[in-house]
Amino acid sequence: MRVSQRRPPPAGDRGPAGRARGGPGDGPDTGRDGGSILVLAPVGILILLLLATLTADGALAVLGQRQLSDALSAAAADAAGSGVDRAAFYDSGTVQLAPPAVGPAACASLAAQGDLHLHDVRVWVGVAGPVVTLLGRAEVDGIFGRAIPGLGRWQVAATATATAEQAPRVPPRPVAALTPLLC
Amino acid sequence: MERRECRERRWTGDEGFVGGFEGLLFGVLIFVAGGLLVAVVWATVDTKLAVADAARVAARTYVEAGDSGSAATASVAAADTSLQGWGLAPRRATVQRAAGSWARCSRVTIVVRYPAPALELPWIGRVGGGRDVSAAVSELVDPLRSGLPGVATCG
Repeated sequence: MRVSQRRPPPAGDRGPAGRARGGPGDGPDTGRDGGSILVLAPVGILILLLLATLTADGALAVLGQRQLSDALSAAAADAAGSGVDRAAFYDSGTVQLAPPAVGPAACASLAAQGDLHLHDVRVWVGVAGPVVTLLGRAEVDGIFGRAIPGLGRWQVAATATATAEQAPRVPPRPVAALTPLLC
Repeated sequence: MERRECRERRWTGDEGFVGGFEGLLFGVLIFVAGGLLVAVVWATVDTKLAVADAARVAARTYVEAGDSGSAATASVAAADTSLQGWGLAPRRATVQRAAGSWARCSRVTIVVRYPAPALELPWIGRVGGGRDVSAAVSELVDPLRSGLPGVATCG
């Protein structure tokens, strides 16, 4: 039978769990804590995998948010263009939007954006004179997070505003040179 | 006492070294594989963001062009400029008008395709070639705009 010759540590040198810790000069490790690395390594790897999952799915959520924002921008522009109240324009010359025409135009534009990876898209619309504002919320499916409860779907939101205005058509002129802008 | 002695000897010596080395090797492999997986996903997402932005700019430029002759060239030029802004090579991109024409109330759909890299690594950049990433954006030619013949039939 082997007897451990470990010297008892000083009174103040104890770990958080109350276990004695040996110093550098305490002789060879008896191996009592040697198995802890085998427990910590899988836990660390799982944490790394979880972080990688969050990173990849978060990137997809950012992509979905950009897609929603682009779709709402196109829908707002289309709604502002085709939702002009023509009766009001020909009566008084003012440019303002007709709310009954804005909604279908926005919906038609959103339906035409066929490359979206979004689910449960909900859109709210507001019209104030010539200005139309769209607020959209949707859900994006994650790839790796589906195996983890609560991380399978990400909610994204975006807003877009467009204004209908009458402006004289100015033919585009090429810019001769660009100069640095000092802000 | 015998069981305790056996437990103390279990992870020492050559067996302990082999166990620790295998653990480290396995951890490094998992770390590298996970890092590569994230790099691949991010490379695809980054390319998708770029082509979506280019398609949006191209579609808006097309529907706002002054005439039909310059609409196509202007939209391609706008997409190229957008891709350059994302650090991509425009000559590798394909800008295509999938639907619509330069006419009042016409819904124009622009599709931009770009080969995504297999990897996108820090300090090294884009490595290898993956599958094509595409984005499509649809916009309406303003029904009340000037410079176009015909009567607005939408809205």
